[in-house]
Amino acid sequence: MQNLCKVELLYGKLLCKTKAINQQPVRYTRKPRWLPKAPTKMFRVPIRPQISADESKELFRLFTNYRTTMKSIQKQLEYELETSYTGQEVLQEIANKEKILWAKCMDINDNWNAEVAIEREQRLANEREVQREDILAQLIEKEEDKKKKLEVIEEIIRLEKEKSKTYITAENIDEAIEKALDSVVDHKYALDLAGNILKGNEPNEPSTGTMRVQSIN
Amino acid sequence: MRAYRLLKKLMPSSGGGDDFEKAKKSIRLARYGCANRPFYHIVVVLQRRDCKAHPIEQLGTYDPMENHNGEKLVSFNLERIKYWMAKKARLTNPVAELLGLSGFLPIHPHTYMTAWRNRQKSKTESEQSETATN
Repeated sequence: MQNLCKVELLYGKLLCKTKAINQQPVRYTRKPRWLPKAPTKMFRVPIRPQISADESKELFRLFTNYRTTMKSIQKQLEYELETSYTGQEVLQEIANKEKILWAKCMDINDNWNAEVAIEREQRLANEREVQREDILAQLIEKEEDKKKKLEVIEEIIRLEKEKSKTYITAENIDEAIEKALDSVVDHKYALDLAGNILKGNEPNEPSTGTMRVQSIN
Repeated sequence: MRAYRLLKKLMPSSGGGDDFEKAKKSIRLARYGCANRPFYHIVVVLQRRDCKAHPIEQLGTYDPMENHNGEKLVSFNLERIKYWMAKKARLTNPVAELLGLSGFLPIHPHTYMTAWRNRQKSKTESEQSETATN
């Protein structure tokens, strides 16, 4: 008994961590298994319940009935649960529900599609317009470019034509030869650092033979 | 001293406990009152678990103390009870008795027994009082 009290107090302490003024040890819900039989109950013989034969018979009957009914109820409940998942009607109902849901979904989808189609058409028309304008602009630009190029080419041709007047051809080759023979050019000259052309064979006479034609620099 | 008294875990008493497909389950009363004021939840728990273990689901309540109208109030979630019974959850005697009295199941033999015993007791008491007065 002392042990029990001690353990009780210990648990009481555990439970009341902050020590209150009125500390109360909490009782056991059950006596621990390791404690011996209480000395007052040492030689007590518990009275067995007296059930008469009639009563026991009646109880037996009732319990057997109860058990059988409970079994049947159990089976019925199991069957109901199973049919709630896999019964023909339930499956049909589920299928119908799904059908209705599917139709609803399809309706919504169609509506969305129609809306999107209108939007898409508008968008595509806009895009087409923009593209057409772009292409037109590109064409105009290309034409202008062509024109510019043609102008440049024509300019070149014009210059060439102008130049072609002085060309030496088979017709005027004799003339050109004569001209060339007539005008002899003396290429024997020297250049100094300033780019002055020095003609004549003697460089010591700068006053007489120097002639500044052009500058190299 | 039970461990749950020392370390009270914070979990909902309305359900959400462990549920294993093949483990045995029982529908039983779990006492949720305080000292001198019993109040019971009707719960489904794994059969091997403690009486105050985290239940799988709460199926009802039972107030064994009479109110001012002399009624003991019971509430059941019968659909879920049906479901769990179909799942072969065992009914404990007090729950079976309550279900029997509520008319959902056949009346439990215990109720009949207590009834006839009470009747007999009252009868003998009245007889005794009569003899005492005479």
